[in-house]
Amino acid sequence: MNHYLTLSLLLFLVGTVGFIVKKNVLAMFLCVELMLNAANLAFVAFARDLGQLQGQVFVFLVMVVAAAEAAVGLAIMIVLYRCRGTLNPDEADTMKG
Amino acid sequence: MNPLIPLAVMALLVAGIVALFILASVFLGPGKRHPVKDTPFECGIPSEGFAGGRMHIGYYIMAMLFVVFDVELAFLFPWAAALRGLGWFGFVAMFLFIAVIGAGFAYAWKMGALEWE
Amino acid sequence: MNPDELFLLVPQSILLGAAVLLMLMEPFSRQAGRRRLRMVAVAAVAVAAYALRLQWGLGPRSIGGGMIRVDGFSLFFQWLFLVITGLSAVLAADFNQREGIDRGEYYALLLTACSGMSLMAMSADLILTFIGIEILSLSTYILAGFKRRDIASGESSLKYFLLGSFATAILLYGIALVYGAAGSTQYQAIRAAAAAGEVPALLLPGLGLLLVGLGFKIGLVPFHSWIPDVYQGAPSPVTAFMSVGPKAAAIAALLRLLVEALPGLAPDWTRLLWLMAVLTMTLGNAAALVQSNVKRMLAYSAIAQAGYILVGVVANTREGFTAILFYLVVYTVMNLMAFGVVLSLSGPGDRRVHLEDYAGLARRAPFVAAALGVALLALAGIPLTGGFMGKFFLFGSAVKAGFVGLAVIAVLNSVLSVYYYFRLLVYMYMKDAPQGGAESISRPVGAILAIGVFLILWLGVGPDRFLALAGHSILGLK
Repeated sequence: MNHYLTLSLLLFLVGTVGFIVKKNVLAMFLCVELMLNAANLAFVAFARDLGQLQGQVFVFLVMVVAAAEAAVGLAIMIVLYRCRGTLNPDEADTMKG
Repeated sequence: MNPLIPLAVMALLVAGIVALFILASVFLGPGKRHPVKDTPFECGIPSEGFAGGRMHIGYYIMAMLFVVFDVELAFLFPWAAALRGLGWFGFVAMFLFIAVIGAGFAYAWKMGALEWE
Repeated sequence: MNPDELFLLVPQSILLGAAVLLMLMEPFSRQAGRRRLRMVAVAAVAVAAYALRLQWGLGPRSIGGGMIRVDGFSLFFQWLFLVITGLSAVLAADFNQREGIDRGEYYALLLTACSGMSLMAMSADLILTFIGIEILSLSTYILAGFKRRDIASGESSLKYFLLGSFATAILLYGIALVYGAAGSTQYQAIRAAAAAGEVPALLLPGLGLLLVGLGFKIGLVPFHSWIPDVYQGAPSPVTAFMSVGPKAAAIAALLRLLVEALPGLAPDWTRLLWLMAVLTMTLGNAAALVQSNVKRMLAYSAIAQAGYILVGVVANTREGFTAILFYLVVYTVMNLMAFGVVLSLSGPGDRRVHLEDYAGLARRAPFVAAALGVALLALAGIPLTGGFMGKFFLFGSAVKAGFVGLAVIAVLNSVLSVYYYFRLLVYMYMKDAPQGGAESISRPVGAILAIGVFLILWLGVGPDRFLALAGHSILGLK
């Protein structure tokens, strides 16, 4: 139980730090996916510990949400890439103030 | 005896043998360079294109569609296994679910997302 | 589920059904049928509102095994969201035709966003709240980037998407921790777990992560950094929608979560939210002072307004919650009016949104200038407007709950905010227009502005009936 939670926490931290450090939109998005899956792992670990099925059902729902997010995210990236030709967020600086 | 010890011995042996062969080839080999030898090995077929290059935009659209319909299956399997327990309510609910997905499919089809540009 | 329970979900089903229909109509109908798309959206909102009206007298109910609550609170918010969605669709019509984005998907996404918001207000289960937030967020990510050829719109969408999905990931981890601590995600079960003896160790970090996630959606400092860019870059009607709808929905979800699931941790979250309220108000107002882009200024103003609303949450009394509901109505009216004017005047390409573009507006379009003026006065909280009444109730509830310091800071902030709202007024009324030429405004937008002026003045002079309605709605929250 504790091992699973530690792993999940580590995954979550790696995702968080990666999101803040990374410079590429796709890499940032992958870090978010990592965080979502860290939460999934925690759900399953807790569900097992509590002897419930609920937590495992949540994982299904989260997977769908992650898939929908991936589809929307890819679409946004494609649109922006067609407009600008780069996916570096530091260059997305049309608006300032 | 700890059951992990044979595993550790095995890992050490593997690492040692691999290191031995690599070192042997470095020291014993003639070390001649040749353009064909410098290319990455890919199942023996000459590699093509440039790894950092752009993928065709169609791949991304296909990937998006694939993700959506792939996850739909993740719902269909448990549903099919538990259908007897769910009764008519479960049947109608899943029917609605598939109808919505089907509407999305029709939309994607009609908008030309399935065409290879 | 029995038919009785399904009846309570009819409004949502109508919205989602219409959304699917609109998506199919877009590719399958000819160019001439553009008007019909909009009509379908508005009709769906109207029918859903009627279905909602039928539920009014039923009293509080739980459906889906306690996951969804239909009570005064959720009915109030569902009604508010329907109004926001309907008005957004009408406000967007002219703009979208001008910008060439008058497509079925636009209205379909508005409807799905509306159902997501309603789910957030109805949900009594963390997982359902999460799903509601996601339905809303995914719709607004796409709406923000709806002008596909426009770089600013795409950037706005990308920033919103990246930071938004980051925030929802944090929120989800918070949900996982709370689930582990309480053994359930239902609000009542969490409440029981927190009340029984000592608080489980994982509950507090879970609460912290949940507050981060919801704070991001509301736009509280220090999780506000996305708001100015996203509001500025998104098409103006979308900005109008985002500044009122998702914000109100996130506040509804926050209220339900804190009051129904975590009353046991009230000392902890009031302290945290106190700090966030002060930071949000002060930073929002301070940054708004130096903006020359009206959309960006209104974005910072929206941040500051969220800070005022938070004052009512900190008060943590019935009066405070009543004041929040009242203020949300006023805020919706005045913000939609302000953005309604902005999007009508923004011209081709959505570019004329600077202070100079408003110079001499009073001469070019007296009615539009007057309507925007009333909205700005209300946002600043000048007496005789609904904005003043709302702030009065909010800050009054804080004083009664013993948070005098917070109320004083809030009042000082309101005074500060007068500067930038009045600066726009000065541009409209005291500067000469650079070039003549009358401004035209579409008839539906004009009608909405007129009704808005009337509502703001009515709420400012005789708020009793709305206050009673808000107080009645709050009874479901327990």
